[in-house]
Amino acid sequence: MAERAARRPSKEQRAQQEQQTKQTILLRTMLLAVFFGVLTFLLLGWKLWDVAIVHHEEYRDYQLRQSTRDITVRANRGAILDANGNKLALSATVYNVVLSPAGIENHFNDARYEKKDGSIDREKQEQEKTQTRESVLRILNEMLGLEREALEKRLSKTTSWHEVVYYGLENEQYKQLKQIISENKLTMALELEPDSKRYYPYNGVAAHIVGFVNSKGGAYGVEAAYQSVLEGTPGRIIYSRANGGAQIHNGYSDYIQAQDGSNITLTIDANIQRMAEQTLAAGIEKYDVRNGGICIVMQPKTGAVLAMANSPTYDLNNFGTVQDPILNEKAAADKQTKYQQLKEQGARNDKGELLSDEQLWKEAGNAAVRDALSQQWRSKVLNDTYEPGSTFKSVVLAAALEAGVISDRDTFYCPGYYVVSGRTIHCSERRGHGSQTLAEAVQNSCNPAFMMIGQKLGADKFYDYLEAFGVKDPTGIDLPGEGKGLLWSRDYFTSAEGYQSLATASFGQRFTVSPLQLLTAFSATINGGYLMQPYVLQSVTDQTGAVLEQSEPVVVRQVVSEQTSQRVAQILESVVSEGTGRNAYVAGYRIGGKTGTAETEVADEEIVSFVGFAPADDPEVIVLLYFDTPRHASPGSKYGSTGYYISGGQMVAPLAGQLIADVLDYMGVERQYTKEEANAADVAVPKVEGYDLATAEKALKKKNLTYRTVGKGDVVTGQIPAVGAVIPGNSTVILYMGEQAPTDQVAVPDLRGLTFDQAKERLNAKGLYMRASGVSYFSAVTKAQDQSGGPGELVDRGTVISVRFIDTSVNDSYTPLE
Amino acid sequence: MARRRRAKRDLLPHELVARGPIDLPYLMLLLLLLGMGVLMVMSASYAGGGETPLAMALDQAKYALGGLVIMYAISRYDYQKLRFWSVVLLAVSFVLLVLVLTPLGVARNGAQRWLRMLLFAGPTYQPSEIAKVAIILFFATSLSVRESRKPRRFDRHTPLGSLGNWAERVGLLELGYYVGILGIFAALMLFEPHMSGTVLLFVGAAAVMFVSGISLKLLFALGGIAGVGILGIILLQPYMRARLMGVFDTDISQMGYQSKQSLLGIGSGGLLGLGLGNSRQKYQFLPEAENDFIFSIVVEELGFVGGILILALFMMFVLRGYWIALHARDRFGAMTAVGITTLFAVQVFLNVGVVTSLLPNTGISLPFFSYGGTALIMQLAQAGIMLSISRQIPTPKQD
Repeated sequence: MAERAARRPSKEQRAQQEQQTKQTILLRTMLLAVFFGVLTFLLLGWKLWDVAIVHHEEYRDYQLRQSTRDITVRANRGAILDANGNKLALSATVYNVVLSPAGIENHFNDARYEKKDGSIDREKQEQEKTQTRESVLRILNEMLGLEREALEKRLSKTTSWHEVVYYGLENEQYKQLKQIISENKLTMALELEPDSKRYYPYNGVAAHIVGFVNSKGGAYGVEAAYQSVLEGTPGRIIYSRANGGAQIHNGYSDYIQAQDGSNITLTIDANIQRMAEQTLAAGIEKYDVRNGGICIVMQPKTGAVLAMANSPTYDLNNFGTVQDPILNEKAAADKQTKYQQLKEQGARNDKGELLSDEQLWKEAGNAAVRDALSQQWRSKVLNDTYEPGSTFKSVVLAAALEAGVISDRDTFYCPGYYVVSGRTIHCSERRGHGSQTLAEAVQNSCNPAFMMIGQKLGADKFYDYLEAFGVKDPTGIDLPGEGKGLLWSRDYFTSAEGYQSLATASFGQRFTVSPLQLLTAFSATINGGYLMQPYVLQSVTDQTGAVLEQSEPVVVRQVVSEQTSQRVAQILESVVSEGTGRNAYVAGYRIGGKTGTAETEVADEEIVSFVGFAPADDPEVIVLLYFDTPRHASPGSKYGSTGYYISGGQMVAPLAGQLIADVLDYMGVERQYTKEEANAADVAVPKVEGYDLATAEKALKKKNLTYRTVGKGDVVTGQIPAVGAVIPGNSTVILYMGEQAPTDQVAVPDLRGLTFDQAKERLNAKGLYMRASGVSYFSAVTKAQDQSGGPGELVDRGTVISVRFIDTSVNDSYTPLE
Repeated sequence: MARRRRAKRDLLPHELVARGPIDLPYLMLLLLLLGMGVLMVMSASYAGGGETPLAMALDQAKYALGGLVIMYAISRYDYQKLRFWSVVLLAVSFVLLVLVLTPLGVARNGAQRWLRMLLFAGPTYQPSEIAKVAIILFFATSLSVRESRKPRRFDRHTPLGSLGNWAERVGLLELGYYVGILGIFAALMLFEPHMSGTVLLFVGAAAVMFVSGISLKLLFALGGIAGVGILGIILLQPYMRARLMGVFDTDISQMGYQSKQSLLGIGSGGLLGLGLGNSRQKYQFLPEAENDFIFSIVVEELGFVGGILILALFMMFVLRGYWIALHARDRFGAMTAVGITTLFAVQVFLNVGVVTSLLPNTGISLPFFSYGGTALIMQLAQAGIMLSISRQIPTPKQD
């Protein structure tokens, strides 16, 4: 019963239970309120704090990276100008054609083809997509000649937004393609992205000075040396973007303007540079030169470089192609050796498999071309060093005069050799020059005389002057990669063992200098005594033309006095007028200079050179021209393969002299003729036709012309040359008396190897005239070397044939030391 | 006015009670949240959610207004009558849940959760939204009178009968009844499938059961078993385990795209945010920015301060909901209020938890904020019931 009673609660019990349940409900509701109304919110608040505040910077930066686009704005690279403002290098805007396969995907997205029932019209989507792809292929193929297969491959990269398929689209084509793109509504597939391209309007002119630009910026020359000046500072466009790339127009954006690079004006004059390059190229061909050569034209008083030619050279617009024929020839030979080497080594590819014969050839060919390219890019002017040979005597002369150990009263006896520390060193003139004055010793380029001078100076002083003339240091020219020569240490040079070095150094052998070192040292001997720092950068200007930087000549030091310098210049002028440099003579200009023929490490490989300057009393230009290794006719022969005696005096001096004259003409330095030269100066033939002989004679005499008559009339009925023709003074005019002047053409005779008189006679016999040049005097040893109008060429009677003579007696060849 | 006063005088006592004042704090909190919600939908959907920049916001505003009207109507309705209607509603929602699984149901993203208003036409809605409320109302109706229910008796001489008696005594039978109903509904929803809806269905029902005084031991034992089972399933499946473990991973580069973008939004907001309308994440970086992940945009634009303010409003809203429950006139009202309020609270917790990567991604929207017309109307209808309950809170005796 009790159980039953318990199961059937009384009214009170029920009320109590009711109360209890009510309590439970209240309690549990409050529990829920605490749990869901407070605790969960606290948890959320904590987590929110953690994400929004604790990780704020991390997430914000991450978010900014994904939602902002940072575009670099190109800065235009500055131009490189020559001294006259001609653009040697300039940048222009070109366009790259960018294909966007993902752009096509994005454009023809599913949403575009969603039908009303929510399904997607796949067929139409595919069809339109294919159509677009097809027209892209067609346009690129037709306009730019791009291959379909390659393009299809790029198009298949459907996740890529940016596939550059064509670089460097130029203005006309750009406009055309841009129009086609917009007409065909292909903007989602093709983009034209601006880029910059470097142009070199002068192609190969001053290639080694200007240099070129590769993907990393300036690689050689001024392009490399002044990379930071030329390149400018790129700007930036920063903007907020939506996922997918569209710009958010009310979002954050910033624009930092690009700073264009500055323009660089060089001291180089493109015209003089061309002359130098042509002179160099002519010599290389004429003398069959194997290892190229250099030609520097500089202002001796400032150190400003007017031209700096280098052979082999190349076209800056195609810097990746080997152009020099000799280099190509060498590369072909090199390919053979490299192939043999690779074969012997058993070359393998990346996977370790042996290369096939074909691959070996390919590999060898690539390596040979790489080597040839680095050779063609290399600047011999800056990187090569050589034994200067006799051209260095100018420096020794200046040093000895300055030190006062020699004077014009001294005489030097040359028996044809000189003995130093028991060793006999021969002179180039084996029979000996006999007794010579100082000037004669220099004119003869007499080695024994200079060894004596060197010894008079003494090793210590000699070394002082070597240092003072900058032989030990690079010149400091503002171009990269300048080399310097190898010189003995002072300790060795001044020691007893070094005594022979003093002797060889006296005539410029057994040590090396860079061409620039020699030229600056040489300049110091004739420009008043100042060692100048050479430079090619004249000024830096910004895009508005404002000058940011201007080069001033830098005097490194004064090495010798004004008087010494003047005396050296005088003596060097006599070298050209009377001595070993006489083939450099050009009528009207007072050219001074010194020849050089120097040995290299290898037998039968000489460097023939000439340093010349003019005008001698006030030098405006100084030229160093040298050829590395003219090919010998046969091993050990003193003659080259093209028949020229191998020496600076016979090979280089004529070319250098002409170059100096051309440069002075170009610079507007007036010629000043001596009386003799004036006699031979060109005159215009006066009108004598129709006059009697006496009148004609008077008119001709007035013009410094002689005559001979043909026929027996009293009146001149014809004349050769015709009125107004310009012929050298002292020429003989042919007067036809009662006869008609013949109007036929005559063949030009071969004059080469003839003396002045022989050549003149040969020409006069044909009714032709001779304009002689090359030397200041004519004798049995001055032989015609070049003539205008090749032998056999038909010309009118009365034509003037220019004949260049060379003094073949100049003996300044290299004398082996051993 | 006169007519109304006279009418009031003519009212029956229970009708008079149903005409009490609605709970103003609750209404104010709700209106604040709703207003901010519509505003944030406008900001979040501005950058390409709809066909025109304001399309979604206008849409949401229309539903909000309609929902407010419905809410007011329901608040005027005497919730006592819902005791009867709850059974009907449960039956209707059962039918609808079955209908969803027929070809009449509309599928999106591989889940068949929607029905059309007029079955073959009209805007779509989720029957599970109705089922959630129906279950709460039905359980509250049923459990509010469990005291007066006579215990079941079986023949104690048969083994089955005595087992039945034992089960009845410890409350297993009672529990089994509710769990059975719940199970049927859950199964139907799982078929759609609709995991998050099922969770909320359980939450609402469990809250009502919990508060009704049902045996805690059994409830917890059952919950425990279910919990262990679910945890086991999660841990056995590598991808789910990864998702769970992802919560403890702070390296965002390892996270799923949506979670990562959500955190980036919140994180770039910082203390004060980028300013209203200045979200960068809404530009197609954060998927469904106006929907489940709208809270991320809220914090990005309004900062930690704005986020905490909204959480605080929600907290007050929830606590006021429990206050209504505590002060409700009867058990039915209290239990219904607890169910609805807990449902709101859990939705907020799950949504914000997911958005802040406190919880793995579940796909639960934020009440009053997330874009979605029928869901908003359902939420406002639930609030209407809350207000209706609040009308019948007895006025405190004045001394």
